[in-house]
Amino acid sequence: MTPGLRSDALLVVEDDPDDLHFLTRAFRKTDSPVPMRVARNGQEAIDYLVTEGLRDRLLAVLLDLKLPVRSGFEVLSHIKTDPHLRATPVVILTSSAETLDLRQAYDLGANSYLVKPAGSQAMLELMSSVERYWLRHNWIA
Amino acid sequence: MLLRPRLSAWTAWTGGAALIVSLILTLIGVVVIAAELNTLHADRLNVLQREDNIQRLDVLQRDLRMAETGQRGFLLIGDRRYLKPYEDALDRVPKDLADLRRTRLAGAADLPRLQELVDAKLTELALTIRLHRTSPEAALAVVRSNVGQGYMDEIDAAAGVLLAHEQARLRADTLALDKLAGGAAVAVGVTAILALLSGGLGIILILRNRRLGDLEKLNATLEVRVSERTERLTEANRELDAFAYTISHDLRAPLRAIHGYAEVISEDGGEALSDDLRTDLQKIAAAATRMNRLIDDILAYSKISKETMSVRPVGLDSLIGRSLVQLEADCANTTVEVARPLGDVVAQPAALQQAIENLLSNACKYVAPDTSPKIRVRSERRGPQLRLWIEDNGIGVAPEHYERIFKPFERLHGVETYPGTGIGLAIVQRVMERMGGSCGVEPSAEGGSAFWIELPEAEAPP
Repeated sequence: MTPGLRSDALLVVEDDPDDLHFLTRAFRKTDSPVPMRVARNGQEAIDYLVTEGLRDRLLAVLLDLKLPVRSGFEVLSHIKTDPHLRATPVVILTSSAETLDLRQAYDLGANSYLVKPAGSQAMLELMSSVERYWLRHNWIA
Repeated sequence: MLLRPRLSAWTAWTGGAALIVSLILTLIGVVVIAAELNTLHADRLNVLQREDNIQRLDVLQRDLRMAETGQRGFLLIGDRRYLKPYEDALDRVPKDLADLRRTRLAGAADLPRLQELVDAKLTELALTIRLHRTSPEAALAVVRSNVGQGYMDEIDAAAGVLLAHEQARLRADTLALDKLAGGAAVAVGVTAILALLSGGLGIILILRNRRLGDLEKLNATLEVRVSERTERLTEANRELDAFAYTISHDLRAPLRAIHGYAEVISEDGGEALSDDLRTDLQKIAAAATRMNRLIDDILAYSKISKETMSVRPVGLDSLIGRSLVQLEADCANTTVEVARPLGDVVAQPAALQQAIENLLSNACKYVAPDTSPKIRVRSERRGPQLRLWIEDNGIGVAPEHYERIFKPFERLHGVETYPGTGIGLAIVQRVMERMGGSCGVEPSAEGGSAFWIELPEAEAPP
């Protein structure tokens, strides 16, 4: 990595190994050049964001809501209240289709809300659209 | 829920006011009675005075007669012993007169005349007794001359006048006394009634206050009990919500894994997989999808019971349109005929749409394999209600199953033949119940089923 230049990255915050497996597999199939970082719980995500996250140029954060140690809502709130991180797009990827969760996520500043699909095919479709929409843009103005 | 036994402020106010008025009237009654008794006492003294006066006049006359009797005895027999009655009377008569002068005689004006006559009589008696010392015969002659008798007659007449005055006054005073006594009796009676009334009212007020106190105490404990139970129910509801949340999240994760891995193996297996194995893997994925749908339906069913239904006028035409768009995939080969305008009902739009979509989806689904599904949607006004019919040419429902099919998890066919979770119609029924409507099924003209839902018709279009 050239010093002074920040590399693009996608941060995935997911604790379920199976979901992570399908997600990684689907993301690989999109052939995106953007590297994928993984945090296994909310605290790990926040630790990453305040250290390496500042060096990476995060194109998006794929965030699960139900996470150990610190919840996805806490991570979301942390990102959206930090002046350096605020502009990072956060895509919620959760198994909850509850209206309350949806509302709370958008109240806290989420940029998108996706319900985890069942099946590898559906996951591939979802990751393709995430890649198209969030990772192909040049976020530097 | 709370007992509110509180008598109206107005009732309490009138009760208190009545007690106060009644007490004031009783007090006035007591004052009146006291005044009447005072007057009664004064009048009674007057009556006694009159009786005394009458008595005194009588005594005076008797004493004068005793004096005359003594004089005559002495004059006739000459023995001084016979003068004793005369001397005694002589002592008493001035006193009798003095008494009469002191009292307020009714005929006080006539008293001097009586005095004069009494003096004259006593003088006559004294003269004859003195004359007897010098000439008993002359004295006797005076007695016989009837001069003394003349005085006595005049005295009796004068006393009679005074007596008549006194008796007249006595009668008048007695009458007045009787009248006063009557008035006093009435006052006592009225006051007694008022006192009873005040007492009664007071007792009623005290009892009522005590009852109110008891009820307030009961209310307080009731409120505590109600709030305790509400808290327990809220806690139970929270647990149920948490349970539903857990179902929706934790149960779905392994399902996703099952589904995902079945597909991954199928995709990555390549040549190593036989066609049979590939079919089995597809069945695993299909089973996972089914279970996922079941979870969705259970959650939807429990949400209908939990969420409040805020109803408003809903246009059925546009709602049916939206539902058909939603069901485009499920009802691809179906001919749908909608008899517009369908009208407007009072409902919660999202819940109604869910119910209608379930019915339409069933109508597309439960059709014999060689039949192309046909659906007719129409409405019918039934009093204040509007009934929406969804008729199909499907396999129909036997009448003995009409009730059963609206219960959760009741299925008449195997999943292999007609897929489904068995909750769709239960959701329809629950939604209708929550919105104050109803639903049912009848055989359709085309041999299928005619499902209906009924809701209050909206007065004006939304």
